[in-house]
Amino acid sequence: MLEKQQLEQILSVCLTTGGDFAEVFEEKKFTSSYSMLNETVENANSGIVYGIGLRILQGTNSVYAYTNQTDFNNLMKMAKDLADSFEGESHAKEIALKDVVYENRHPVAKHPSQYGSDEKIAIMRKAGNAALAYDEKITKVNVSYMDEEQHVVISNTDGKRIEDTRIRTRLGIVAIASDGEKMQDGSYAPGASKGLEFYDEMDVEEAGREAARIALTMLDADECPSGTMPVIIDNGFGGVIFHEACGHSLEAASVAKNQSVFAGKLNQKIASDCVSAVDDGTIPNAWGSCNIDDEGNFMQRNVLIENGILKGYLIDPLNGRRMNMNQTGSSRRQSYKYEPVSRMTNTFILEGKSTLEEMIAATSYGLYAKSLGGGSVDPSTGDFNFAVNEGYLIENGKIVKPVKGATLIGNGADTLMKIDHVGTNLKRAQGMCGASSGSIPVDVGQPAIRVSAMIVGGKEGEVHE
Amino acid sequence: MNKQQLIEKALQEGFEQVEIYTNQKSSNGIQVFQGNVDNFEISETGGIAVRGIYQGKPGYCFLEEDSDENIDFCVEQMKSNACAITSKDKVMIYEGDKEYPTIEKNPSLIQNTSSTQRIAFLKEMEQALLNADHRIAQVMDCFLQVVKGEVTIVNSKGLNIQRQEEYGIFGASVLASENNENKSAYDVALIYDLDTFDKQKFISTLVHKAVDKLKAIQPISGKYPVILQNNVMCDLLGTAAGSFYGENAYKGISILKDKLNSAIFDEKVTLIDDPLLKDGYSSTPFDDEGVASRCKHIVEKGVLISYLHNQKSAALMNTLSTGNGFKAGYAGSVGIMPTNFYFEKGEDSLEEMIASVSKGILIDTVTGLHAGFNTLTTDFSLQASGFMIEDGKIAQPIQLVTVAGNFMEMLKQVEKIGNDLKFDLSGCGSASMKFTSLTISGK
Repeated sequence: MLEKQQLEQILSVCLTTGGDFAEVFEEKKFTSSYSMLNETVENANSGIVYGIGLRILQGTNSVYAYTNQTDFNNLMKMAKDLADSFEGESHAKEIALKDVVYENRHPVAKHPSQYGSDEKIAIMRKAGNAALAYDEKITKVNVSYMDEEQHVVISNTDGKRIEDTRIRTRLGIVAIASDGEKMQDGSYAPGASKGLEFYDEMDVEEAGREAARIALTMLDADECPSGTMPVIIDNGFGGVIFHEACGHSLEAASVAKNQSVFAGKLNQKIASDCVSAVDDGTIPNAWGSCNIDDEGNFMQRNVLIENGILKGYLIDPLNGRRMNMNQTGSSRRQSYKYEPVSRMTNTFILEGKSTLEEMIAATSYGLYAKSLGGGSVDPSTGDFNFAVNEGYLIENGKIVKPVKGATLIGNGADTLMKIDHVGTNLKRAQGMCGASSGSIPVDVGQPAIRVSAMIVGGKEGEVHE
Repeated sequence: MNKQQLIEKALQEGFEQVEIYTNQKSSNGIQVFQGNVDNFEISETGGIAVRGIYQGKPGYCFLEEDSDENIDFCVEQMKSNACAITSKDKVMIYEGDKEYPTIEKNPSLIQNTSSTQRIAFLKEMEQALLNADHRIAQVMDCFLQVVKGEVTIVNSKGLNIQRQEEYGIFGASVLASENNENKSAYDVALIYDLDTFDKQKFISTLVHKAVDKLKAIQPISGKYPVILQNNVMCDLLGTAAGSFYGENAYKGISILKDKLNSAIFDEKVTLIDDPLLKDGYSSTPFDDEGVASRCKHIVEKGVLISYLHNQKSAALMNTLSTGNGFKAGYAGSVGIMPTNFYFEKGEDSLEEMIASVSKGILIDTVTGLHAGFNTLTTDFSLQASGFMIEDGKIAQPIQLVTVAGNFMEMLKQVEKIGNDLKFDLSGCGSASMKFTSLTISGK
């Protein structure tokens, strides 16, 4: 990492051509990963991600450079080249960096780098064997494990220098059930901003069995019918619906350029009364949490929707300038190779009043989506989609049979208004979210909810009347 | 980093063979928004991936910090990673081929342009897109990415080979708006030269893609004859590619396991992997293990005649590598990937195919492939948009529908293959195809 004096010189050069703010983002990340098929360890890899990102702002324009050729002379040259893309009066000033010291909200007990492959592979084996033992039809189980320790130092022309160390680990289990003819997979992938203590605190074998249970249930499931119907989406990863239907469209990157369906809707009703939602990067040791965002601002708890009323956006400083609003500690990036922008952290719908049982009982015909896969959204139209990994058909208030292959689609603005029940069983789950600043860890979450009408796309063409 | 020193150190520490893979890259990205440079990015990066064979097992490590101080760390990591492996699969470092093919390519003249010229081009394109139709409310993105890179593979068996890559990508997305209805569309293209780039064609295609979707209806759910446009077929093929990997087939995690030499598709279907294609997006003289590239048919008239192999999967299945050993970035281990992977084109034009449908649907966009496509079973149910076809003609645009089917089953029943072969930026290629019946979910 660079000396303070070197950082000050680089930052100073950045302001010589009209830029009014500059930042240096230094990153060093150690990663290690393993994968295992049935009981055989097939891959082991580790390495160091290392580099520097330089950013200069002039009003609402930004320029960015990144490199891992980090000797001081090369960085000074890069800063100068980057500054040359602006034309204007020099705002160069004496910069005296001061360290910002704070208390770590996400302490880790067992640092992954202090443990060898034996401990990590033992955890994988535990999960894999539990999945294999679940049923004789579980023929293949793929277990992956990753951990990383990312150290960042962020310095800027406001004189701020701040550091953070982000430690994360995640276990992924994919179980394949097969009856000789058909095959079906089920997966489960818990993670946290923790060290190896994460696996002491959770039931690793249960994680393996969960993946196996989904694969086995879906093996004999019928094709999901298609059409528009009420859908009950259960807790945990079900929260991907809010992430896609609403979360992305509240990111300042879309809102500031009027490219979001929710631009200009602050303090207006955008969801049904039973919906309140937050984005909270401060939850201790959660997968999507950090002490500071990737521009060195403290993460915070942001209320997005309160009783159906839009209360806030997720705002990075550059888009804050465009919107004339304060940043919300939401600026994130995958690595120094990405310019940071407003992103989600741990985003979830808050608890309501209905129980899952009540919702099912109140549905004469519909789909119960117990576990979901990923999804995507076009923030400019709000049209979104996501996949149902484990679904059941509801008839006359009762679950009748498992169904497979369903994708749910809808329009965010429309779907938020159609949430008519919010449950009491709030749970978060882990995912990776991809957008312009790369792939970052986020939590999604919710209690069970019911949407009164959604488009269910299955392979079974029969439409229920 | 001193590569020789690293190789020697690893050999001293008991490695039987060592290989160093490096990737150097420089790029410039520019984005224009509402007549201003909204984003300007320059980069200069490199990565080193080292792998060695230790007691018959592969040991990997990657680094971005190019310093001799990392040599000990790297060898230590490689050894610990090799010791963690319990797989008995045979692994090897390749001594190389006698000859490597040359790839014919259009020169990337865009490399020689200045930032000023690039910015002027983007501003012109943004304005032209806005002016093309009054319903274009905004050009949401208008960018140019110019990249130059070099991959080098050096190993302890004396191999030392290099390949260069130089390309420019231009992309734009537009928002069409009318009566509170928004429709967005996006397109990207390889660009060799700013002066000879067919601006009008790009603009007209993109603008049509957005405005033609306005006043969309939602069709009634049911089974319809469906034409999947060439770009949609590319998306599906790219997502299904893993089913053709030898390693997946060998390990029983592909739907195509035990299917070699059997008919898997309709006899109209031929699938080719050709790394030597002129101007191919994924053309390369050798793969990431140093195996010389060659063109091979994977499916010939409906029959699966080869899987895609790297050295390891080829050894497992007693055959030769097809030269498809690639890493997903230098940090990854060597897996299998296709190069220019495409369905051979047929004879009908898209118009002729449309004319053959009395009531059906043309799908020209699918989204959410990472979620709605099960790569194990190849079942898919995807958010889609396109047009109704009535009496052999394009009718209303459709929105908020899903199209569902199974990729492998669908290709057993392909009715017509078009002549409009197109490649996407991942190297997947296909013409439009007509299917007798797929499930559409809407109203």
